[in-house]
Amino acid sequence: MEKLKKRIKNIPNTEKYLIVIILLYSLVVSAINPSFLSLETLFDICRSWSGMFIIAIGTLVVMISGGIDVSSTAVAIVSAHITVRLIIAWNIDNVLVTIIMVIFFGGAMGLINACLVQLLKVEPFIITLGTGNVFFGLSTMLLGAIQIPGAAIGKKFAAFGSDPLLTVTMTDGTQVKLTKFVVIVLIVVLITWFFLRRTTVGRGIFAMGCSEEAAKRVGYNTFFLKIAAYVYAGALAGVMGMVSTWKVNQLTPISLVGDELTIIAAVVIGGTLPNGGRGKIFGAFLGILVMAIFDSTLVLIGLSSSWKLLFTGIVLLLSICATSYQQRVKNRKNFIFTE
Amino acid sequence: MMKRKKLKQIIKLDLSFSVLMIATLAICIFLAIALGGRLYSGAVFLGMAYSIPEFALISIAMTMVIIMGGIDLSLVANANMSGMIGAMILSGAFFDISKVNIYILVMGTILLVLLIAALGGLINGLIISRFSAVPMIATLGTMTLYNGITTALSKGKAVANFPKEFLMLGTQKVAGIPLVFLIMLIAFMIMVFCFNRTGYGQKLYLMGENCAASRFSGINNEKNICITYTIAGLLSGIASIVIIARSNSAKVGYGETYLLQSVLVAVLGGVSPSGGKGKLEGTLLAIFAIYLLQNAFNLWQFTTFTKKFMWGIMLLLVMFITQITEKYMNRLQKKKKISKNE
Repeated sequence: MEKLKKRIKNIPNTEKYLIVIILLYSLVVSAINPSFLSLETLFDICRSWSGMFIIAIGTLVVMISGGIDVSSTAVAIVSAHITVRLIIAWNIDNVLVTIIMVIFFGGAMGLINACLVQLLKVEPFIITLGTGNVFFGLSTMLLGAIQIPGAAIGKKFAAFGSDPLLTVTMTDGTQVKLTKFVVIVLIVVLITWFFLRRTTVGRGIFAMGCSEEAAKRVGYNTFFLKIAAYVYAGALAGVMGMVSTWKVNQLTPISLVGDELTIIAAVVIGGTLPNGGRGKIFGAFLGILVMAIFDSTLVLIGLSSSWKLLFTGIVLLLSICATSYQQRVKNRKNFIFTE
Repeated sequence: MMKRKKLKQIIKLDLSFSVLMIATLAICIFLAIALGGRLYSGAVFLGMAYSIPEFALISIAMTMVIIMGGIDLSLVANANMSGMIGAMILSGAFFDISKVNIYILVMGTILLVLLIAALGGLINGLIISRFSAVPMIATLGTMTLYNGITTALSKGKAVANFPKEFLMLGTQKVAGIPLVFLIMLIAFMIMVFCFNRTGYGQKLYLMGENCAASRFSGINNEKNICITYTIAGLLSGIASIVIIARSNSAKVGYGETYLLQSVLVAVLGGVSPSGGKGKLEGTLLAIFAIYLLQNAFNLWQFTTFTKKFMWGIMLLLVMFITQITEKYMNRLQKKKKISKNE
């Protein structure tokens, strides 16, 4: 009991509020429409938001390092596009190879981002705004923008997205399916946790986010840290591109792009410090959960989906204000003045 | 010899501005060779005079904010939100407009749109100054909120059909120049005056260069942030009036490409992305170059993807070139210092 109390005390404020908001909202929704509280809703959210959570983790790592990546969705769809084209050309029908390839291409694009951020010494926002458009434009120019159905890519490939991990038969006979994406998400979460909390590079990324100069003086190679963060984000973006292709069982080369700010919003909602140096996977999870709940339940309580953005915007702004204000008070105590 | 020295001095004085001048000239000459009369004709220029203002107003606002060391992602969303409210009033969605005097209605709507847009900017400023939020993230939040308000109001549909008297704003010409272009020019002149000739402008430059230094020299940073974001909001409000008067409709997600392009224009115009350096005049010149290019792209029938690629690669190239020239100039200065000391 004592331990549990300590645990709860240790949860940062933003996350506490978020949990309260999610619980309250779920209560309201389930009071109005009891069909919300079902296994089906849960599995649906798992299926449609796994990809977003994966890419949000990548963005989280970059934001902890003090940068930002608005090219993430472009990297995702472009690496998925290249991989799918290669799979068809080389006739490979293997899920593991597909994932390795997509990680490779995503990582390569992340490497380009990192090198440009280091070389040009300009805000990462503007660099990745440029590279995102370049990647996306280049791929649609060279590879075309034609949709490729999953069946044309490969049998095993198409089956991975549609075959469930486990099927639960409800009392009334309907079957509810859980996707295999959950496995990918769990692996990604575990690796990221280990990477950020238990490796020198991960700790260095935190240090660099707090103060790049300080990290340099301690002896970290900040260029290497940047490469690590951006390549990791790129690789996860690639995985997300593949997951979203599996989700709809079709590759649409012009989808996803335009959602990058939503992903950053989700990460920020989770209490990640925009200047870097602080952030949690659990926070990103809560951020994505908030968005997922607003996305799927507004219809259940009788509001049209056009209200989604408004609700998301309000939660996002509240979260930004709370996180930044805490930091401001802390900074003022230490005589650090930020605007 | 004398002349060359002077030219060199001018180039050195404002390096990025000269880079821009050369880039613009190069673009103009290249396009003249490639397209000639098809691009450089009266009709094309008149078309540009109609289509530039909305984008120019947003770019000017973006430039101001970037010079101050911030960034404003919510400009287009703000323009869409205030424009949508204005459009709904003008098309009679809120109350019956046939009972109100049409001129009072139009004037009232314009004032209300400007007020809402300015308020939207002020909210940005307050969040950034009072809560110490990072400008990019804060404006990302307000962008989502404003887009949310616009979608919730319009339910995602376009609102159209405004009174003739209002649409006149978009088509009227004064002495052969479209009225919207004149509005943009006046707003631009006022902003240039503020930036170059008033203390407020100089404070903004100092703030962009070094925020802490300006605070400790007794400048009220928080007040200036609020003012600047409010002005940026006001400019996007003017842009929104231009947009709805010209296109006779308001819609969520109008002008989404303006975000990338306005940053591109500011950087191309010689504004340092981290703030403190740059001139509004450069932005206007860059807008001209970008619009010439855009017309050329349309003549060449580029797809939207190709255009996106071109804008992206230009953004990266411009930063690359400025980086190289800056390094080169620094090295030259160091050499000179060494030779002087010897």
